[in-house]
Amino acid sequence: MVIEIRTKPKYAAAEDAALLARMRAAGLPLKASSTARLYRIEAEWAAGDYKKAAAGLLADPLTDDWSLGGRRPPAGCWRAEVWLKSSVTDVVGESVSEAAAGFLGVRAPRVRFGHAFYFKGAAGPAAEKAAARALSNPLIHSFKVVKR
Amino acid sequence: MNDRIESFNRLKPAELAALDKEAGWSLNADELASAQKHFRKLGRPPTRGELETIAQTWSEHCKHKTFSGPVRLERGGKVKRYKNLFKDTIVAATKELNRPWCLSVFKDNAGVVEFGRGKKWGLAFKAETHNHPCALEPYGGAETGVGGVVRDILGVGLGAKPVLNTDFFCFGRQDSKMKLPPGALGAPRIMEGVVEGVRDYGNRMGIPTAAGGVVFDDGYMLNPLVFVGCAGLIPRDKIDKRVRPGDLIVAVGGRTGRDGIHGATFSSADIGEDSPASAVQIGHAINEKKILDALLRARDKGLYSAVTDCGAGGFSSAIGELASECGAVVELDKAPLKDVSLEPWEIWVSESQERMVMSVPAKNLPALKKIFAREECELAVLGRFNNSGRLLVRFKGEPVVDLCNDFLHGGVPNFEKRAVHKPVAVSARPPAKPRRPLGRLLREILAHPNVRSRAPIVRQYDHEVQGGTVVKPFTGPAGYGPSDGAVIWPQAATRDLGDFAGFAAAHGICPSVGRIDPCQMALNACDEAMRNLLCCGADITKAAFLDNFCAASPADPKVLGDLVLAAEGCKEAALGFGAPFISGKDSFYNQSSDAKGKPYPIPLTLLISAVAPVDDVRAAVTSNFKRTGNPVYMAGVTWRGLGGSIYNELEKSGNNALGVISIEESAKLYRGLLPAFRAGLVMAAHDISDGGFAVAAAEMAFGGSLGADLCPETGYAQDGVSQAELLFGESPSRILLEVDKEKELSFRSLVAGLPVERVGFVSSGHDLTLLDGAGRELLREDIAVLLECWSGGEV
Repeated sequence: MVIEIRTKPKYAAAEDAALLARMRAAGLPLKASSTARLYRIEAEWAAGDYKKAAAGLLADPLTDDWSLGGRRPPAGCWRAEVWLKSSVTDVVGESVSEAAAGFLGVRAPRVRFGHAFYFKGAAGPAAEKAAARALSNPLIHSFKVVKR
Repeated sequence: MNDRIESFNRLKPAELAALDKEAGWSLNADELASAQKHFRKLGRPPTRGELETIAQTWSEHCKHKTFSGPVRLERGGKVKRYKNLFKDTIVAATKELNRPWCLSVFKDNAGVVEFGRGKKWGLAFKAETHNHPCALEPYGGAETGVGGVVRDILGVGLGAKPVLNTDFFCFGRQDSKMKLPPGALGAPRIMEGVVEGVRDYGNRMGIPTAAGGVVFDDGYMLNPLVFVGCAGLIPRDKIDKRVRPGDLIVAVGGRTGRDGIHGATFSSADIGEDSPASAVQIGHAINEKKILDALLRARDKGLYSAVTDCGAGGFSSAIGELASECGAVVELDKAPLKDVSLEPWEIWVSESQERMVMSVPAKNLPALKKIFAREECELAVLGRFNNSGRLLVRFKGEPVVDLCNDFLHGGVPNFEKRAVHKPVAVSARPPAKPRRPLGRLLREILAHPNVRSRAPIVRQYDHEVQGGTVVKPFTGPAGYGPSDGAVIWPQAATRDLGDFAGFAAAHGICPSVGRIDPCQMALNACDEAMRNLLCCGADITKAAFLDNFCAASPADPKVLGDLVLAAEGCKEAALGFGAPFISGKDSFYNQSSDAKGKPYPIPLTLLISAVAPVDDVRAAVTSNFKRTGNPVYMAGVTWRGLGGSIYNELEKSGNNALGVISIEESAKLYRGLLPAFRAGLVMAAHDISDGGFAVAAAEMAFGGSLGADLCPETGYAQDGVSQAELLFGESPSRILLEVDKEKELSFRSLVAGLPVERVGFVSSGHDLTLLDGAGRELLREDIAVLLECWSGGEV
């Protein structure tokens, strides 16, 4: 199960602007962009446990929105996901795994941490290649594009 | 590969080289032949674990073969031989100085000098590089660089408490249009990742990151340099450590995984597209904080006899080093693993982070376990130290390594390396007149990447944590002025709020000078570090240096020649200033192939880090102007020469001569100024370095939100010095000082006989005005505009 955490739009201006500037510096003239944090939980949890972990452990109720499962990109947007390769130590994932044990009383054997990026504007193979270069390091990351 | 390891003793040199490349050992032909001879003598083939252990132990990263080896320098038709370059230069200076306040030098994970009143404490200081990992994965490389140097401080003696992190970076120009080879990361990406890595690790561990700097030069486009340092306090009675045969080998901290395998041997190779992904390490600051807290409690209870960190080479390096004077039996299957599919040799050399190894008397194990359990920090007994003189490593009873210490630590072949030096052509002709108006030139120099504010980097760091950062990265009422160094009051470690003893930490670096003369580069770097300490109000009579050399491949005789001259410069500076080197590090093979496949080496770079005591931190000095009407003095002499200056990047002066540096004269000047600092007569001080007099004056002015009317010509200067050299020349050993106007007479009497002269006054206005000797205005600039340029605004 993938849990996605996004900063609420009214608090995300600085985050979005920084990503937009970064992508423009990478040669990608986007109209808009936003980011989200992803947690892939590999565990035999009940459905309610994922919701509890998302709402109570991973998201800040004041500033964040959360959703379960891979979110489809909004209209006109494309979505890229960046994950650490499975052979790379994931310290955020390890911390969440330990925290889940304390919070839910049930440990997640494996948690992986990643990011999702939403882009509006430039698209196509060249744009995807530029985004991959700017947002991931092929040595340690996998980069995947999800189109609408 | 296993079949070729099985037939290792029969392989021909070319086959050995092919095996070495495939395995990623970075052993050279002589080293492979020496290993082969050893196993032929034993009458058995080596195991993979043994070859891995040899490669790690003999790596440039761990053995420092270039610096500790014999060198033949050819220069100007003459030959000079060094038996051991490091010992004959840098160590020789420290030995000759023989300072009683040096408590531990060149033998542990960091150097230690005496600290504080009552002689109860030692101050440990170490700076490291993490260049190769940062070129591959900037964030992880920088994080683990910080983690590694913090563990050096935890692993010095029986453990010191970190109180300051330092950072210094050399990056490619952020606006460079250079075409990059496949796989190379762009300069902005590298910088962003490195800064985030340093920030996250230091901030999460609760250690202030304060003294730092950054140099931008396209020479670092493919090989960034990331220097990270750490200073810590250790009780004097905890400085000595000794492994006791019979003690348990105890590993604490993180679990062992596949990450970081071959990091040590990777440091002995050029970076290319095929660089190993496994050499990338990932840091976990919270795990290291747990170790820190548990280790220092165990130290204070006297529960272990020795400790060291698991850095490059992992257990192989840490246990191998601790057992080098005695021997050990290790049971690798006892090591906690992140990945159970690891081969035994991988467990042995993995550089998984946040691990330390201790030598623990068996009777203390229960108490030690209790302390580490309280921090939820894993602990495992891996074996026992003994008196065998051998390193025996097993996995589930099967041998992985069985090597005698004599061969492992003394068997590396050390052949004489050739070094040559050919001087660069120098033009000392009078510089051409600048094309730009002087005011415009000053604004452009302030906006130059190597002069402008580091705020975008510094503001990401927590420099206040632990509550002891007295002189912070920026000074002045609004925090606009750059500091020359950091002054730390380590009360979080001493827990003595009545003792105001502190220390200053500062740096010196000038790679642009090194392109012209490597020896002058070393002298200038040491001089700059000393000046920066003095400007903070530190007691420079007890200053100590760290050296960090970074170069391309030392197999190139020209690279090695430059390195030898820089090492000679370090020796001369240490002796001249009376400041010993207490620790150091080197990093070679900082070169890559560019987009056309041509070698792209970094310029020879030397970072000098320095520390000195500040007897009372309440009397520390900062760089910003303090009060209208105070006289401003320039200490030192402006020499002719614009070599290596920012000015020369903007204006083609046709002059690349270097300003004269005499360490003897500089030392005399700084020691002569010290009584004025001690007497509280100096209200602000700032070294004249990048950008020259005009930049130093501008930084003092906007730092204090006060103007100034200054005439650089009234300061001491060489005959015939031009206006450009007076304003923007970077000749060394010069300081601008603001003196308390009510104590000016006392100041003048204290500095009588020294090249110190009044050059003007702090003004109540908002302009920096620079005048010529006849009182004519050379430039008048609004300090708000200058600040805007320095802060990254429009010029």
